[in-house]
Amino acid sequence: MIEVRELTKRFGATIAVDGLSFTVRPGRVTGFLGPNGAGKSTTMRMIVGLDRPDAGDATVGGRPYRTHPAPLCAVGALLEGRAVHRGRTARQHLLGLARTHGIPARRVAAVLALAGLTEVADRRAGGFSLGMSQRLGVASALLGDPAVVILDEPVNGLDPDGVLWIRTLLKDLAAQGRTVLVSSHLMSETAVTADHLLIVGAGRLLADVGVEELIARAGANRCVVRSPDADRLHPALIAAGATVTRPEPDSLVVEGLAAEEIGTAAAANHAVLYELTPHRASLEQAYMDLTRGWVRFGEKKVAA
Amino acid sequence: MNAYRVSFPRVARAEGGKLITLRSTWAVLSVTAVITVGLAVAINANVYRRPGAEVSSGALTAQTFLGVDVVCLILGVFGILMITGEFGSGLIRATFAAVPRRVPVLLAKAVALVLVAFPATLAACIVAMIAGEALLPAGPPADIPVRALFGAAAAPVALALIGLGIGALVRHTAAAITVYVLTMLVLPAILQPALPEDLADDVVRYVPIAAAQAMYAVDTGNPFPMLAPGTAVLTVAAWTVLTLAAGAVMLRHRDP
Repeated sequence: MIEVRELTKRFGATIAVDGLSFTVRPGRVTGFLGPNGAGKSTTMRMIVGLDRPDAGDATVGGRPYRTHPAPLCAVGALLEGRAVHRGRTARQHLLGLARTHGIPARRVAAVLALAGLTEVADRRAGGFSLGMSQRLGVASALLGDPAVVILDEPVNGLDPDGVLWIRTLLKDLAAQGRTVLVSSHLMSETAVTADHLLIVGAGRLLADVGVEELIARAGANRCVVRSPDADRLHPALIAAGATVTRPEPDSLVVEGLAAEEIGTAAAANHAVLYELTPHRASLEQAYMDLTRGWVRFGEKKVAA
Repeated sequence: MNAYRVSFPRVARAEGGKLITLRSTWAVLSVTAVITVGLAVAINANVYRRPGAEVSSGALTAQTFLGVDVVCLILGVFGILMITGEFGSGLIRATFAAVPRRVPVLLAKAVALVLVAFPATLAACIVAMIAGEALLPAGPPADIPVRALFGAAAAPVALALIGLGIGALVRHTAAAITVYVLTMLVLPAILQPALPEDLADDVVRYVPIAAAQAMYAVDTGNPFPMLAPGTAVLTVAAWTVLTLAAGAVMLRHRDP
């Protein structure tokens, strides 16, 4: 469990994180979303004690990260950018971290295997591709078998195999009862793995919602209806309470009625249907609506 | 899992492991050994080839350990790189995430540095001493005092620790090396003419490099008065502690 209360961080005149409060619960993948510069990385750095907050505090498992006797076992973090000396091998790098906690070499071998790095474990990290570096970062995050896993943009630089690996890994970690916080600026990527979302913009929390709820909130679902009898169907659907637009003579876009209700209305009016396709709002649209809305309406949407 | 926890001996072991897994560590230590021994042999051989060369403990010690002056600069940079290298590569974030109290990391690096570098400098100085004494011409004997031997081995390690402290303060490799060179070479050269004559000598012999040199010098009645060996050790130790303490405060208070 991660608890963040009124967390604030300024860099000179700019406020990177502005009174952010949220709780990340165990047993599910929480996506941490926002455009670049929204304060995601800074928030993560504050959770693991690398940046000192100007106000507010963050706790992990009920206590500040710095006070944990074995920090790597409390939180495993993959943060932005490389964090490896080019001259050391992957195994030496992990051993350097493991030894600070008395974590044995066999655990290092285990996380190397988990990250698919066994074959390159004794090669210098300076020659690693971006994807291999990311895998090494994930391996170091899992080194202490941590209860909380924080990954900042983990799919950056990964090939399709790697992306699939990360997705499966995140779900497995959550299924094991761990707290998983994953940042991304890509809604499409997050949609695949996350159960819950924290959306931030300009250092503030815009939404703390379940994925399903956000989709539902994104506005009414639409159905595309194609019918040679559109002339008759159109007024009937309006009478049933729908909002209807008619982009083409034989095509209707219906909002406010479920596909079943449209089908029933069509039968009642003896209208032939060529097509009846429900379109759910995508997470991407929901995200765009939310961030756009926040920009336009400011404080009002934050409270929503 | 409860057995895993951070402790200072573990952090020191980790830092020791990090130091010896870098090729550059062995390269630097090899180069310093070659310089120490090579210059001792070359200089003593040159001096004692001339007939009627002065034979004294003071001269022998100075000739044998002239290379240590160079090693002091090299190991200073070595100490700097131990920490600025981590800031440059971003490794420091992983290091501080594992040891979020940060200060133990600096102390562990200092311990690792001493344990790895001192045996190497001591071995090189012993070989240099044996070579120097072997090159003495027949006649009245001279020898290198044991305290000068240990001083010659310890002085570069102490300056490496000062480099480590400067690295923790400045964080950028190039900037830290600049600060180190200014402090070690330029500052004493400027202080000498800048200060009143009666004050200059008293001040200059307390700067780190002069105090470090006094640790492996034998008083020859040189016009430039050096610190007594005991005072020199205390002065160098004070500079070392001061720089490391300043570095530790900076590590705690500035985000990586």
